[in-house]
This record gives sequence, structure tokens and C-alpha cells, in this order.
Amino acid sequence: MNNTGRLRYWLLKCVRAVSGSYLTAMALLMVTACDDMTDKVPVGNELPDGATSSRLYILSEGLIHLNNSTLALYDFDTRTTATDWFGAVNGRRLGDTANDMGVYGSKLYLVVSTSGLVEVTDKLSGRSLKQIPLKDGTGRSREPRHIAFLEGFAYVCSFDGTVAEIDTTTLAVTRTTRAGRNPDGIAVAGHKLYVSNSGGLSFPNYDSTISVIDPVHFNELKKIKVDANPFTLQADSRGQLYVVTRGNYGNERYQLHRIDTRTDEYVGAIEGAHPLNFTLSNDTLWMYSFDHSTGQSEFQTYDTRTGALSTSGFITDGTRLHTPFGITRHTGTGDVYVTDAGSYTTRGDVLCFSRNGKLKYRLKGVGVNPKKVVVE
Amino acid sequence: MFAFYMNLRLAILVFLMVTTGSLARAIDAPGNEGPDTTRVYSIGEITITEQYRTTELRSSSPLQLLSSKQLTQLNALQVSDAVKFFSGAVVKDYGGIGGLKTVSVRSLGASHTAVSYDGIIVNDNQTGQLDIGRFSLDNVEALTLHNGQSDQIFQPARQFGSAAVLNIRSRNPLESASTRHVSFRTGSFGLLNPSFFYSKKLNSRLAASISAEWLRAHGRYPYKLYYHPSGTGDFTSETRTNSDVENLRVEGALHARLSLHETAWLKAYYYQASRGLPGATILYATENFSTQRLNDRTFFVRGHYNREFNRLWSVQWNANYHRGNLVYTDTAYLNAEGRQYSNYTQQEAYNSLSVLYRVVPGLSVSFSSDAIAGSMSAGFENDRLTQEFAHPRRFTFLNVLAAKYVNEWLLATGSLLSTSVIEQVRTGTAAGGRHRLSPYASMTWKPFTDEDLRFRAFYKHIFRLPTFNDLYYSRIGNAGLRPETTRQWNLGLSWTGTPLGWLPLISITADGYHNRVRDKIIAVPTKNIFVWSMVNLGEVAITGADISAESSFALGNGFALVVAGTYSYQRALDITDAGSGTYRHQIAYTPRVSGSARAGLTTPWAELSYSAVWSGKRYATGENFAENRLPGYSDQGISVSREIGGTAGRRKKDSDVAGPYPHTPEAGKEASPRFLIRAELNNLFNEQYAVVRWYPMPGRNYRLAVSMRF
Repeated sequence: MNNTGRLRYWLLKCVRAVSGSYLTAMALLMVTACDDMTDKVPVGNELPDGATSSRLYILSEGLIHLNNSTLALYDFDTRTTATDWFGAVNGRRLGDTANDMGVYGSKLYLVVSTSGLVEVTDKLSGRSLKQIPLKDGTGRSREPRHIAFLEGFAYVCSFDGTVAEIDTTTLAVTRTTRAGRNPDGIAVAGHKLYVSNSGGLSFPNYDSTISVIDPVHFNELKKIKVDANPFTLQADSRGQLYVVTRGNYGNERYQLHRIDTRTDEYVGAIEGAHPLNFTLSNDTLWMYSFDHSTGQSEFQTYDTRTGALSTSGFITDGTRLHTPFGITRHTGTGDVYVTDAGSYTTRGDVLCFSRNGKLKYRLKGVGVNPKKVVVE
Repeated sequence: MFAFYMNLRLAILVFLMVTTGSLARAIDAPGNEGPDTTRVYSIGEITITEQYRTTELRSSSPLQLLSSKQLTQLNALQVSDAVKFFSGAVVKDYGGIGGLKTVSVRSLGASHTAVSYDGIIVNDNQTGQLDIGRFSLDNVEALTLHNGQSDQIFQPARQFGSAAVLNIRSRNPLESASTRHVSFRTGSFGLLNPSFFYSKKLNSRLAASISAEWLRAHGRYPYKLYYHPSGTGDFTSETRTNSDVENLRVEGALHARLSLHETAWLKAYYYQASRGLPGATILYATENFSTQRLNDRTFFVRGHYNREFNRLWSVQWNANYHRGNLVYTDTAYLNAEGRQYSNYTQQEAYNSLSVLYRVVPGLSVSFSSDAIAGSMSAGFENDRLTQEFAHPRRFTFLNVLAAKYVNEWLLATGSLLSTSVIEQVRTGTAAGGRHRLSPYASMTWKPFTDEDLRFRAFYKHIFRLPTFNDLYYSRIGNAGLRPETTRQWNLGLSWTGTPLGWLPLISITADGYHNRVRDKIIAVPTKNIFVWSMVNLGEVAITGADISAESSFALGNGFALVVAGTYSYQRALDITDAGSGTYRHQIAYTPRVSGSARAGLTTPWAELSYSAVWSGKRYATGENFAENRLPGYSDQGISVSREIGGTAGRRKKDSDVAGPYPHTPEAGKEASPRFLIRAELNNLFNEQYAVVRWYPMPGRNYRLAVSMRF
């Protein structure tokens, strides 16, 4: 054999050996089918020190059609946390798109929109007491959105234009009445119910009215005209109802309005107040706005007694939020809780600010699209 | 503004010139729709078990092929069922016959896979992704999946313009004798599916074929709905509803071999479907959840002309007109009108001219020029929405220069694709004009003449344009979007031989790859939580491996066994933002490991087959948390088929290509009708699984088919 032949021979042997072992390795890989992907553990969940409340309930919407709404519990007394507290206690999921939560007596009322129900749970144990379906005649969800309470009854407004009355002792729907298009807020003032008719599903043809409902005869007394796409509404101690309108997300801005519930007349817009959402505590509005196209958020307060509007915002330490998504204030401690939805597709946070606007702590990864916080 | 109109007019002018010019010359050339180009790069080869496998092994970029014979072993009804068997392909299947099915290759996303039917791409400007469930396997001769691009450089420029190409090749009536074929399928979900295929050789140069198929299924099937967050424990037994489907497909073709150096064909295709969209299954609200329906109608007519002028020059021309209409309705939507109605119509005119020049033996260069004009119009339940609709038009010009070199130990190809896009809208803002250059290079090295071992590598840098929905969808669209780019590097080998000397012939391909996706177009809420908009945000790094193996055993006495398997490993990580909670998490709906297997046993009495696809766990969102995990699954099926009745020696040839007739009878006998009876059992172990979370897949189900050829 000449040199070239020998070289060729050995080269052939080498390549055979290399490719043989490569193929063997590949075959081994195939047989063992190594799925080296493991669940990642969410960050956070550790409880901060120095909290002034004992329990935080956090309701998260989840993502639409993923059935991943959650109710989280952060218990500062027992120092335990459970991001899917409802699921852990009841052995089942809460449902799809939980949108609102309210406390009445010893119970928590969870409004689950796409699943079409109100889940009533024991506030202390988290155990489900009753699942109240809110379905229309064909079995489809009414898409309940928000809840308010008055004299032993819970009232739930739904996107299908109805308001349901629930007896809080029997936990059953007693009556149903109609409001306007796609109600997206309900409040109680002066023994009457106020429902904001958003018409949000008829974009760009929004509704722009507030329905006044008499809880005794359970009928609509009147419609009060505000601007397009009304949303959150709440009344102060003197019967002044504040309403946010969201406009068309284009040339029409967010705007805060006032209605006098003693006369049920529209009073006017609050100059300079352009919140997307607010909470009312101690006759003061704690507001945030968020521009979805620029990602800019702004925080304001409005004193309903003096009419003073703070434009500098209530966050004093420069803390920035990615996507404010919900706001609550604990009147006792003065702490303000703002939820941050982040990218809307991943778990968001809850930030707690002290009375003087400093970040006390941040609870990370509480749930996907955290919407509502209840502080006890 | 003036400049814009000038550009537009220029664009139309060029389009017309190319179209009329090529029509006027009426050129020609030899048949070129096949993936095989043995004529061009014939290397002395041992012929393996089957003609197509050779193509797969020789290709410089990974190519997978399923012939009609192999397709029948897969219990596949639709193209999507078969694509699941390709390694590296993940079919997003929303369940049921009518459910949407899209394919993502090597984690690049569905919009990066072009779907080509007989060598001409079927495009959807609206969504950028095609529902591959709409394609029937009834008339399919072969199904191929290319990563990167084909080694064949003599083809339309559009074939160079995507990260992966799925090609569906229908039967060519010129390649076989006249055939009449009727079949009827029935089975679970109320399936009724009659079809026929008729082809006739009018003379030695001209053949015509027509085929039609109608399918109806109520689509209802039982599934278990689990309530526990872990997806186990208590469940209710539910029925999938509003998933009915009814569709009709009619196709006709005229093939001509005009001379020794000249072929042409003309085809028309019509498809219409009406289906219910069952939606996700929502806990506590499964009753009457969805009232959504989708009606679609697709029509295209296309022509192909190919001529080899001499040993140096060949020319081919392809043209296509495509019209698609999609009507979406929701009759119980909670808006003022009480319903949602969207009616979209897309049109596309396509013209392509390709020239091949053989410089010296072994070296050839090609140039292809495509001009495409696409438009979309729409109507909605609300007049204001209708008036605000953009009515986009897109003019695309693709020019590609490609070269290929072949000798007995090397095959190398390279191409440079130029893409120019001009867009116009009736209302709103049009996306700006774009111009991009996209390179590609590949090679195969066969180091030894006496060893069937090849090493291969390819690199491709390509992009996908933002779709009309991405750019102009009512208030969601963002006309400022950049194209989403992908870069692919692949290194692999193929080998055929008899390991250890005594084992039967086995052929193996193994490829490792790395892909990068930049400027990924994703939806984020930019108006409010109801209104999401598209942005260029996202970068994905994908490292993976694809392995496939096939072997056949002649067992004697009329018994033969073919086994094949694929395995895929995909590490597809979100590397968009190191500060985000999903950094280095596997992207949604992408299993780390997946695979498929098929086996066919031929006996003197019947043909038995087994097929399986399996997938490791996946996550339903970008967060790899336990709560988002979807368990892995396997879906296995078996079938038995038997041929009854006559034989036909004169059809010996076409039985090789024309599908479900496994036995080639001896020559010389009298022709008489042949029947094939086939029974399939799918999801054998009644596994309850979902590919897309909350879209349950059907459990065990069966199909029966009877077909007759005469």
C-alpha cells in the first residue's frame, strides 16, 4: 500500500470512528430522551418585615382563556404566603378572568368574569361556601365585572348589561335588572346603586352613561350622561360620586367627573384630573393614570372636601411602576397598595407605599395581572 | 406624496412588464416540480430502500419527505397530521378536524414556515401563517419539509424567501396511466368524507386530472375537564361542542409535455369550509361557551411553463392568482349590535420568471425574479370600523441570484435574495418601503467514494414581513414594525449502511443547529387591556438537534418491515431582557424534546402499520412555572389495510406513486376494479391531552375507508 493509500485508509477509519461515536451518542440521547427542562421557581414570596396590616388578599385576573385567575394570601401574622391560596384550600381552580373582589361580613366575594360566577369564600379559611352562577338563559356567562354591597345584599354588574342582586344570607341571586351597555363599575351612594355603562365591547361606539338603580324596586331610575367609556366610580361621605371616563384611548383623554347623588345631576369634570383608575379613602381620591402607548404613569390625589388636586403625585421616593393595574388604600394605616401588571403576560407585583409616599415593600410575582388588593 | 405615487406606478408597470413579457414569449422547459434533482447533480450512488430517501440524504440542508405510501401508514387525514411526524416541526393543534393547525419549525414561529403547493407558495398576507389543517392528503403524492432552502436553485425566488418551506406535491397525471379512483371515509366525530380522483392521458403529451372531496363532521367528542391546579384529580366529563366542520375541495389540472424539452401545466383549486370555533374550554362555563363561526373560501389558478433551450440554458415561468375570503361571526357578542362580524378578502397576483445557466459541467447559476401584488379589504358589523379599515396593498419584488456546484464529493450552493416591498393604504398610515438582502450558503461533503457518509452545513439569514394584521388591524396594528429576522446555522451528517455488518440497511440523518430570532413581533397592550398592539420586542436563541433514522427489513415469504423514527431536541430560550422574569425561559408551546415513530409491516394478506408522535412537557406562557406546565403526551395509532379484487398489470408504474395500493400485481393480468379497505384506530390508549392549553384533543377514535380504483 502506498502512502496516499495508507493515509486514506486511516482517514477513513478515523472518520468512521468519529461519526460512529457521534451517531451512538445521538442514539443514546434518543433513547434516554433527556428532557432537561425543569420548572423554574417564581421569585419573591418572602414577606417583608414591619408590615402594619395582618393580611393581604390579592386577586389576579390571569390571562384570558387560560383559567389562571388566582387569589393569593399574604399573612403577616402567621408569616405564610400562598400565591394560589384558593386553589390550595379548595383543590380546584378559581376560573377565568377574576375581575373584582369584595368583603362583606366574614366572607370574601370573588367575581369571576369569563367563568360567569361569584365565588363566595370564608375570609379566614379561604374555603368556598358557594359558587353563585351568573349565566343567561342559554347557559352563557353574563361576564360579571364588579360588586358592591348594600344592606344585606350584594350587587353585581355584568357585561351583558344586567345587575344581579344576591342575598348574602342565602347566597342566591334574588333579582336581576338591566342597566346600559357593558357595565364596568358599580357603587353605592345614598341607598342607591350607580352603574357605569362603558359600552367597551362596542368600540368605537362607546356608552357614556351612569345608570341609577333603585335597590327597592330594583329598576333603573335614570341615566346620567358623562363622557365616553365610564369605568371606576365611588362616592365620598357627602354623597358626591366620582366617575372616571376612559374615552376612546385616542384623542379623548381619561377624565374625572362628579355627580351629586342627592339630586342625581351631573356636576362637572374635575379640571386637571385625568386618572385611569382611583380608590377613595378618607374623602380623598388616590388616582393613577397610565398611557399605554408611552408606558408613562402618573399618580395624583384629589381632596374631595377642599377640591385640592396634587399633581406632584403621592409617591415621594421616586419609585417607578411598569404598569399600574389596581389601587387600594387602607384607611386605618394610610398605606396605599398599587398593583403592577408588568408585561401583562407574566406574574406581576404589589407595591405598598406608606402614608408619606415611600415604598415600604414590594411583593414580587403575586399572580398574573394582579387587579385587586384587600387589606385586613 | 408624489414620489410615493411614482413608486407605486413604477411598481405596477414593472409587474405588468414582467407578466406580459413572459406571457408573450410563451417559453417552456422540462418538468421541475419535484424535490429531486438527480439529473442536475447525479453522483454515483447506491440506491437505498426508496427513491425519496436518497434525496433526503443528499440534501445540504435538512430535508424530510413523506411519500404517499408512507403517508398512508400514518393514519393521517390532513396534512397537519402528517407534519407532526417531521422532526423539528411543532404543530400547534387546537383540536378536532376543524381546529386551527399551524406549524413552527425549529422554534422560529409559524410565520417563518412557507407553505408551497406544487412549487408555488400559498400565502396569507393577513396572518402570515397558513392553517395546514385545510389541506387534504387525498391527492398528495409527497410532502416535504425543508429547513433553510432546497438545493434546487432553479425555482421561483419566493422559495428562497423563508426560514423553512413545507411543500405539498399533488399527483402528476402525466407520470402515471389514466386513473379512476373513488373513496369513502367515515369514522368518529360523525365523519363523512367521499372523494374522487380522475386522471386521463389524452395523448402521449397531454394529461388532465380532476379531483374533488367533500368532508363533514359534527366534531363533537368527549373529554375530561380537570379542576385541580395540578391538572389531575376531580374532573367532569364534557363534550366538545361547536366544532363542526364541512368543507369542499375541487381541483383540476392539465399537464402537457409539449416536447422533449418543454413541459407546462395549468391548475385550478377551490376550497370552501364552514366551521364552528369551539374556543378554549372555560372552567364552570362550558355550556354554550362559543358561538363563533368561520367560513372561508379559497380559490387559486396557476400556471407553470418550463423549457430547456439547450444544454446550457433553461427557463421557467410560474404565475398564480389567489383569492381568499374569510368570514368570522360571533352571534352572541355583548356589543351594541349583539354580534361580531368580520369579512376579509385577500387577493394576490404572482408572477415569477427563472433562468438557469449551466456554466461548466457541475456549476450552474440561476436568476429568478418574482413580482407579487397583494391586497386586503374588510367589512365589519360596525360601519365606522369598516370605514377605518386600512385596505392595504403590498407590492413585493424578489430577485435572487443563486449558484450551485456539484462534483463527486462536494455539493455547494449559495444565494443572495433581494426583497423590496412597497405598501399603500386607503386610510391611516402605510408601512414604509423596505429593501433587504438575504444571504444563504450550504454544502454537502462526501469524503469517501465507497462510504455513503455525508457532512452538511448551511447558514441562512432571512426575515418575515409583518403581516397585514400586525400592521393594520383595527387599532392594534403598528405600521412602524420592522420585519422579524431569523438566522440559522446547521451542521449535520447523513449516513447509510449496514452497521455491524449483519444488521439491515439503515439510513440516518443527524443535525445540530443554532437559530436566532430578532425583532420578534409580539402583542402587548398599548391602548388598554382589551386592545393589544404589535411591537418588535423579543429575541430568541434556539439550540437544537434533529435526528431521523429509517430501516427496512425484507423478511421473506412476502413479509417486509419498514421502521422509522425521529427525535428532536429544542432549547428555545427567551433572551430579550436580562431583567425580565422570563429571561432564559423556554418559549411558550415548545417542547424540549419530541419525536415520532412509524412502522409498516407488509404481509401477504394485509398491510399493518403503527405510528406515534410524542412530546415532552411544554409551558403555556413564557414563564416556566409549574402552573403553566402542560404535561407531555404520546398519540399512537394503528391501522390495517387490505387490498381485494383485481389486478392490473398496466398500472404497475403508477402504483409506485399513487398512494394507498401497497401491492404491485404481476404484469400481464387483466385489469379489473381493485378495492382497498382500511381501518384506523387513533389515540390508541385514549390519552387525554392538549397541545394548546384548554383546547382538549380527541381521545380514542377510529376511521374506516374504502376505496376503489378502476
